[in-house]
Amino acid sequence: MKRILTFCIAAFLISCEGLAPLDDVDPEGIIAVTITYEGDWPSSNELFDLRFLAFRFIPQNESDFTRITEMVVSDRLQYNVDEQTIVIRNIRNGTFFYNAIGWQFGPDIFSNWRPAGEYRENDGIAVLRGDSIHLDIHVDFDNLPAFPPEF
Amino acid sequence: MRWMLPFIIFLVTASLAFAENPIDESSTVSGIVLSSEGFPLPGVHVYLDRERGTATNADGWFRLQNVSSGQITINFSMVGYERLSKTINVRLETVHEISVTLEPITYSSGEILVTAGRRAQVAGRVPVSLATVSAQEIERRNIISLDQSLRYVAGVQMAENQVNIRGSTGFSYGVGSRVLLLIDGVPVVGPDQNDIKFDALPMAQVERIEIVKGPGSALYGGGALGGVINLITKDFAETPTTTVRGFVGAYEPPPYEMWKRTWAGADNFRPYQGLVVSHSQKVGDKFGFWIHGMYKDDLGYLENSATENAQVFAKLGFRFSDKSDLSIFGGFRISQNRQFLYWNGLNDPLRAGRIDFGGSVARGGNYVQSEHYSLLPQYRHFITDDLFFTIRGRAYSIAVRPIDSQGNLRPRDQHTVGFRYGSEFQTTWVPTSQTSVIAGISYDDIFANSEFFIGQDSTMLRNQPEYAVFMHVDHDLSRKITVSGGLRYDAYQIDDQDVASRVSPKINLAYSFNEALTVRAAYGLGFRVPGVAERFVNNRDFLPLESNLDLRPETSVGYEIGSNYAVRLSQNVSLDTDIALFWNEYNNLVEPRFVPSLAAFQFINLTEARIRGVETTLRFLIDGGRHRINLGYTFLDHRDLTEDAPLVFRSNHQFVSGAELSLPFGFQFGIDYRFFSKPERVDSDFSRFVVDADQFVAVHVVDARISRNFSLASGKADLLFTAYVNNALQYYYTERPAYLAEPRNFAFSAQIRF
Repeated sequence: MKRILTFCIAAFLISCEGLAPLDDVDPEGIIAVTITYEGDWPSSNELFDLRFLAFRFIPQNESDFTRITEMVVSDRLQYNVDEQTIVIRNIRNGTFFYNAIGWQFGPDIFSNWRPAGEYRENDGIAVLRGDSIHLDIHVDFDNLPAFPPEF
Repeated sequence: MRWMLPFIIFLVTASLAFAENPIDESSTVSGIVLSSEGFPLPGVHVYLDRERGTATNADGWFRLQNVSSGQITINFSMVGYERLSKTINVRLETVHEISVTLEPITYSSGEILVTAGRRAQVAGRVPVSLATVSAQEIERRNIISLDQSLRYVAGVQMAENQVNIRGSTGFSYGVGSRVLLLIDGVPVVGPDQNDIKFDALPMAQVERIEIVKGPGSALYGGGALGGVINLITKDFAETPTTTVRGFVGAYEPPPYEMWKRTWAGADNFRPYQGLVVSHSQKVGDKFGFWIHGMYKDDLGYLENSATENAQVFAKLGFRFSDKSDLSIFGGFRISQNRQFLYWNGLNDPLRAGRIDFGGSVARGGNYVQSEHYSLLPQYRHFITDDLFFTIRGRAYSIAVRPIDSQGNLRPRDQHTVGFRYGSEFQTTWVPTSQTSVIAGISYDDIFANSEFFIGQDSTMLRNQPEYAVFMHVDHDLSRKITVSGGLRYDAYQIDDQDVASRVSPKINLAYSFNEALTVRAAYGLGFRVPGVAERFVNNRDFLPLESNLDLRPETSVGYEIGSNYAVRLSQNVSLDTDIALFWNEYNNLVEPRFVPSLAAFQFINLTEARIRGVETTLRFLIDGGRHRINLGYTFLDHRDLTEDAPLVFRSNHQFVSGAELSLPFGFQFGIDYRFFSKPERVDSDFSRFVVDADQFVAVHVVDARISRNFSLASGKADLLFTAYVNNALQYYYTERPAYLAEPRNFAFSAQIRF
């Protein structure tokens, strides 16, 4: 009886699995984005921020721009340029269903956002281990994409 | 001037009482309590009746004062020993010395508890669920912070710095405790966040901790919605007693390379050490004191979690006459903490995260100096043998001062300062041996000044006065039936125009079939007024937080039935078992939620909820206490009735167990295991900002220790060595979102008492 009890306790304790890293191999990928611009740039009081955003989901409203743990967010992009290429490293594996240039048009950093340009090919991108993915996104300030995005 | 009122009442009443200075016509009985093997027994409850009693000190000595002449019966009780009553003839104005021997056998403790009814009651006949943690358990586990001791109590779940009794609390970022903390019956909840400062307490001078599980508002007012924790401090030692305990320990590095790659500090053991010094004695018949000092330096197992903590607490006792006495508890704690708020994801959990969005950076780490000061005087005066009053004062302040990267305090306008003060007048009347009546009034006020509380009115200073009237009656209908009823009216001034008030009744019934079996039933209402932080916090340094001036009090109604049964299973084994079924309904529960329209978190009256369940505890005592085994299981069925979903951050199954075994050659071995099932539901709003904040697992934690006691100088001193391993399974888990709980750590302590 003692042996059975000891075995049960040992088996129970060994079976306890605590928290561990989500990936036990290097999970990081790279996204490079070349952005081209067209149209009249917004004035400074309408241009609070501009970033490349890769969403692991399809945003449906402005507050979805605050779900930043489910997104990849670039550094701030340059203003009043014709073209810029950025590289984002250390990206955790996964599928990014919606990729866009996010434009903050008002002072509220948590809600005054909308897309200024989109990458709409292949229903998104998948970053696998060590992948480098290159995207081209065109921004036309005079012809902004619909939001929420239409799929 | 309003703040002076309670102190003026206190001083005037105390002065009047001193002026009476009744004539001393009483006697004293002192003595020693020994085990059947002839060893002194510390912690034995020695009492004459419901109101008059004491406990033996570390050397087994006790002293009862104010004893009337004539024939008296003194009762002795202690867990693991037969209760004993001794009748003696006391002569006028004499000191009697007696010796008593207790026989180990029965489990029924006869332990005297005070929190359930604001008066002394015998354990087992208390009509509510009440758990205790003894001074011996605190010492054996090297506990220096209250939260450490609560982790071993059935039905209590810690969420790092928040205590949750039977599911009453989820996780609210350390703000707004639903459990009220008392020191010797006096509330000491933080004035700024309405929280419990677990590491600002004199744990080495705690006689026991009483934990009431369930609403306690009828006795203690708002804040006791989910339960009450009462720290009963030690009486003064008859002979001068000094205890010095030093300890060193270290956290083990994690086994995962991924967790270590971004922080070199994770490669090595991370040390902690500390020193606890306490001294207690009586000086003549009129005065006694104890003093407690503690220092702890902890490098922490997370990158930004080092803490340095120093504290000094003291309690002074004055006996002016046989009819009046005064005790003053006070002290301060100062600490410098690197506060780790949230991790950088499960692949990098040892480093604080950052929320970098839209040019604004919120930090998951913080560095502050915090100071706490407390002063809790209590004055008691017997008008007659059956009637006495108690005046309790309280002053409690905190200051949290941010420190910059150069190690300097930031400017004063960035400091948070809070002050809580108040007083209470309570009368206790025992008209017959079957009836006691307690009634009283209290007044408290809170001031908190912080840049976190700045609102649309541009002010940072917030306050919230509170008033209460309460009454409680206990009556023994027969030798078997005790009925208790209580009523309390509380009023909180929320702002100039608005007062929140509440009447909280309760009724309890206990029926004792015999000495061994008691059944109980309880009904009570509870409520809690949101604290200053919940209503006024307005900040985006760490997370976007928005104030909510429309926050309403949360309320509860609770029902419980239970039974306590003590039985001797064999010649050497006895069992004490308790089972309780409870059902609590909550309205307007205050929880933090992300509000999309504000793009910020806000404390809101979220929901109606129901928490019901069953809890059972078993305590085995073997060979008269040489071996002890404790088991406790709690099942929670919790439901958010508004969303028709489980409540967040509650474990359905909770299990705690512990064993204390006497080994050959004088060694003592102790082991504890606790289990909490994975929460059915966690708050997904937090994981919107913090990576992997929704990652939870079941909790399995094993703590073990082995100790050896040496008697020195012919028994005049004791030396105790203990080795500990905590979280022996090196099991990684979280108690609250995005914060890894303590990993495996090893410690060694040496304690001398003389």
